[in-house]
Amino acid sequence: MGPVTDPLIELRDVAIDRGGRTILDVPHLKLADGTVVAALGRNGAGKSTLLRAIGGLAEPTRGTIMLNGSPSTAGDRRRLISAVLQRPLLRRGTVSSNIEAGMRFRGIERRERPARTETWLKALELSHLADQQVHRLSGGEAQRVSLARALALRPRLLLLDEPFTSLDTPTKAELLSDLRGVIDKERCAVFFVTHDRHEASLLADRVAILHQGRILQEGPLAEVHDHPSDMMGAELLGYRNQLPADQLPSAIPRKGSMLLIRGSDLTVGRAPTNGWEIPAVAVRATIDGDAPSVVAMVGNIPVMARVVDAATPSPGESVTLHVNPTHVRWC
Amino acid sequence: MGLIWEGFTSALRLLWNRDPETMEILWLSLRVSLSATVVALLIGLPVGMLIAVGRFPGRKLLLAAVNTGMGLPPVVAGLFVTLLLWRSGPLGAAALLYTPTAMIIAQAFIATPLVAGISTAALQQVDPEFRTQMLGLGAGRLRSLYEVAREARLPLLAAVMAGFGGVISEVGAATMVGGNIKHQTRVLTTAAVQQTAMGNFGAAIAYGMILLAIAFLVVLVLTLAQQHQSLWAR
Repeated sequence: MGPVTDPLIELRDVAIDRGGRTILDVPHLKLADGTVVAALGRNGAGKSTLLRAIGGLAEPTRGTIMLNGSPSTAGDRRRLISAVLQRPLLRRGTVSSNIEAGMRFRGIERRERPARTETWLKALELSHLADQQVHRLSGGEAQRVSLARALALRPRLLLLDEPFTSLDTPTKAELLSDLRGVIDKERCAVFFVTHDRHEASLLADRVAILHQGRILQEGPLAEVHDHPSDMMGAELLGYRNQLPADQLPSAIPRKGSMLLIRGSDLTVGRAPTNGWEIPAVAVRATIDGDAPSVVAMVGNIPVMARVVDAATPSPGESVTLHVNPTHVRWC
Repeated sequence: MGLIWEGFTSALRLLWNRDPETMEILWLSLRVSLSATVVALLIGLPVGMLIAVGRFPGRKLLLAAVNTGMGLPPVVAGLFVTLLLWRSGPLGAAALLYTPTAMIIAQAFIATPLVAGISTAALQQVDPEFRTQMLGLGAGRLRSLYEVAREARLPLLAAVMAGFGGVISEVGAATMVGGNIKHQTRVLTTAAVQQTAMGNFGAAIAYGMILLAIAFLVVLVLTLAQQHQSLWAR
């Protein structure tokens, strides 16, 4: 054991090569007890590879992964983790036998297992399915079993590899909020891989933006969310509207060649105080999440703006887009 | 027609009376072929696991070798083992030729590629991520491999049955390395060949019926296993 201040896991110059190519290159990353770190990136960004390196499920080609301040082997780390992968990979058998299997691997005493199984079945609302054969479960139920199985081990480090991707939206939201409650109670460290910023913001304390095997930015959720350091991060965080500076009215003070605006910061209708104005032409009405929105052209660039306290403009109508400048980014 | 009927009734008589010679031949057949199947499992299953789960240079070559071996003519296996065990051969000093041990060795040569090939296919049906998931729940390396095999236990049963079925019914290798010596190396297939050649159709049909019954039992076990998923679920 190192001093109390050592993080649970610390990556130092960790890299993984595959087929002569470096697919992961992380100079530094820390995971601390009770903290959820989300790795946000597109498919193929190296998120799963990073998760596997951290969990001891893939061997880094170079670098050291510190555990409580001392260098660790993959086997050392596998002893503290439990992982939930993208697809629920359950063993043949019943729901209960699956949850007990993990405890058996970890050598948790036989007489302790049934009570723990019951606790976690209840926590994930699976009690009524305890004796169900797993091949009869729906996708959402199977993923809950996978989560219960991982949590029943009470891991020091919980690894989540896009476990919510295959679930429908209401199931996902419910599961995410349940899970955050459980994590807060257990105080385990969590490394959570996702490509969905909504999932990240529901679960994570910190966010790491991954692109082509590298961490572009890492920090507290709110900070990364409001101040993405580059275009890639901005896109992943929902700055979907990107306007070249030469398309903007001269009244807008330029601080870069590209203006990035989040969906919620570009509006039609009621004007925000101190907002900027951009003339555009409405193309069609749409819905963004649950907000009525309009697709409009600024010059030849399409953007999506929320309609606030106004009728949705009809196609071809000239509109004024309002920009809330507080959170815009320049690149 | 009379010939067949006569043979059939005399076969039933031999079986019904538990003719000592027939029983001796049956037990030796089972002993040799079951032992060979166990040896084939001990070698073939790890090889199948290696090919299915492992990533190493020469993997495809090994798979090709196994697949070729699945079609190995028993006579070739018999020839190879005969050469190995021949008095002046590499293992001649052990004086194993024309013993049940020699038959077990030869039949293991035949059954191992069958077991390896079919278990490779069986184990490859398990999601490649399944093992990672088991490791991610704290299973050790060996335990994770066991878990993969456990998922594939039904198709693995097919590998066992194919291995056993392949050797209990073969005659070429058993004759070459066993020699069909009465009370020593005579098994159902070699005895059936001999009795047919001698015109003793009653005994030949009796041996044939026992072989058929064993084949039926093998298929029955497989079918039951496949039909009773729930029996295997836990």
